[in-house]
Amino acid sequence: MEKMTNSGKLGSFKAIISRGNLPIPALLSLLIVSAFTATRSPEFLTFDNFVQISDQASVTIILVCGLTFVILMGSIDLSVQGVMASASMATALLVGNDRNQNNWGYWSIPAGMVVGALIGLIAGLAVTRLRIPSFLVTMATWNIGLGLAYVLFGNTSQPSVKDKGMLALGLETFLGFSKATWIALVVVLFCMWLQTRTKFGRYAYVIGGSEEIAKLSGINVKSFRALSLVLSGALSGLAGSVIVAKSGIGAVQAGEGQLFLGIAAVVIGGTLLSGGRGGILHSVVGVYIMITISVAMILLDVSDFYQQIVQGSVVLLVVSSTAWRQRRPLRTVV
Amino acid sequence: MKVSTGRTKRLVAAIASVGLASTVIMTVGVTPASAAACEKSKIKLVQSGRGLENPYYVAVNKGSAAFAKSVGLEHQWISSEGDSQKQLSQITSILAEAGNCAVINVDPNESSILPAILDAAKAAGAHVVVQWNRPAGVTPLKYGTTFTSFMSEDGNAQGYAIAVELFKAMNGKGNIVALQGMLDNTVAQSRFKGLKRAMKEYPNIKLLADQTAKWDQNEGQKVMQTMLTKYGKKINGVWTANDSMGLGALQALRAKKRTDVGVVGIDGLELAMKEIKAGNGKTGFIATTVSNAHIQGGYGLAIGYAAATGSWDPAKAKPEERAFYLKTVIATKKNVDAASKDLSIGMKFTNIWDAVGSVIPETA
Repeated sequence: MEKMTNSGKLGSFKAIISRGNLPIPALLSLLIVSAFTATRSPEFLTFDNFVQISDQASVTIILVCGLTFVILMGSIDLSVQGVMASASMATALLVGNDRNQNNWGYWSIPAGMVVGALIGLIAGLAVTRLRIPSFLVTMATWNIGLGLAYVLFGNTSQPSVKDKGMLALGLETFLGFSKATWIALVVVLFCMWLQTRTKFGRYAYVIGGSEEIAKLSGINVKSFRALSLVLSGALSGLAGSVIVAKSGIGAVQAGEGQLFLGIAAVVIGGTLLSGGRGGILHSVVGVYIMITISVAMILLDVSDFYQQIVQGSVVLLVVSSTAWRQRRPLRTVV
Repeated sequence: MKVSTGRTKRLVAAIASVGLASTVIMTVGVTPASAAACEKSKIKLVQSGRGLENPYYVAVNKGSAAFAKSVGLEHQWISSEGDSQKQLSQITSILAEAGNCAVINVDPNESSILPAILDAAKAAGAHVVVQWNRPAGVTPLKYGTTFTSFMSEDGNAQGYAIAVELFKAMNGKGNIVALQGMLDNTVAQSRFKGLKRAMKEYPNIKLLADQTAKWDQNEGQKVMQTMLTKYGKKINGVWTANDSMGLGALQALRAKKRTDVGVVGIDGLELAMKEIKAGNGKTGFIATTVSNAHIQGGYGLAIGYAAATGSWDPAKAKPEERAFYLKTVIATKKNVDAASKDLSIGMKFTNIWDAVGSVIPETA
């Protein structure tokens, strides 16, 4: 057990570096993709571009932090888009909007997180108490989340945000970066602290590495697994609320495309879907790789028709290089 | 104990002939039921679309309700939720229940599911009016009276009309970027063609780039964000193939404080209308099309109803009654107040062909 001399966030960084849990292959891939794009696009290596990429990545980074813990333990959370849908609708209907008299202001964001956490709790209980595989449970909670969003939407108009503070949160910057990026940063630091300084984080690796050994060591696997799903729900909920600030509306499609993006980012980053290896930093780098690729497509003016092919090929190359060292014992998710 | 071969042969022959006879009867049974005129009380009005979380379908449903009310009936709304198989099974259930007095106004989730829907309706003798999507070669005139009518919007005319509004606001010169819909949608392609057609008439307008934003608002915001990184101050105007992407682009422009850029879209979404009204007519959201949703919902059912009651015979109809484009109306700051009212209120169905803009050629 390493001696943690420093406390707080700095200590977490040192803990990660000293343990060697840096996502080196993922960082190399990011470097290569960036270098390639930089040579062909003069706008790529600008501060503004980095700010924009970080802004586009912010929502996915928030949800990927929660997803990482679930995957580290060997489970999966497919409900991301459904949770984002309900949280987005809940937030949009609680903050000052044009459909009702509610005026919760910034409190609508924690409310969105609570909605997400509750959906995550349902999943957590179903997986640990009823012993249903997380794949099936979270498909169900995905639908529950979407259904709840449809109910909240009703059949009237799309709620649009009127609260000036919320709109400013989506549009304004702080020290050059969008406020959404700062929220994502806080989430990342918090989750890195969880990963290195708490039992939840450290045992996640053990549970994912071998559930049997974890149980025999006396680790309360059920509680930690359920907790990971609650956290994933809460963070997906936060992602949904942030989308409300950025887009200015509440929409059932708030989470469109985020599941693929999130899981691809986690895999590309180097976290094994079977669990036990990887981490928060890995997934964050993974998100940056995915977003950089899609931004590069536009900066390089790649014809829409080829974008899918190019994107898929690059992802394939990156995943192969990241997973190169784990070729032999590669297992797939349950 | 073996049954004697003679008895076995006769038994087999008897069973075979019964089987053959029932097959013949069943085949005869599934030929299209005669589409006899239905009395009003037996008619079942059905509206099928993606889902009511989409304001477009909310408006369609209001149009359907307006027509149903005008003839003293109820209508049923069914949501396909983006699932073609679900849409088909919902419709076949209704056909089993209502038979040849079903009037189905359907927005097929994908054009590929339409033939199956039409075949099921043909077997029941029902009438189907189709919105937006049909596979190439499957037209009302070719298929028969089951495929009662087809209506769509002229994407080319829409893309052209909003482009012209944008170019006028730009005083005829400058650079634009374009956000397209999903590239395999015919409507996305024809709207873009409309933009290209408008550009021929305005030679001082230059298209810097076009990218797909998949009809989605968040995607539109992201793509616009990156285009601003690439082209920055060079962008003077934004053409988008639908309001959702346009609203997303508007958010990206606001984040970069680009209040000098105009955006145009299509669909007539409530939020887009609000932006046009709050704007100055030259920058921000400038123009969109007035939604025909209520017309598609109301007149779609009206036409099917006319066929089902026998007051109009599709077999003897003019080509533009079987397949037509709806009229294209543009909403700008000048007429936004009138255009953004709830257009389903006060709808009259005295002439069911009021909706016809122009005929859709057979080869389209």
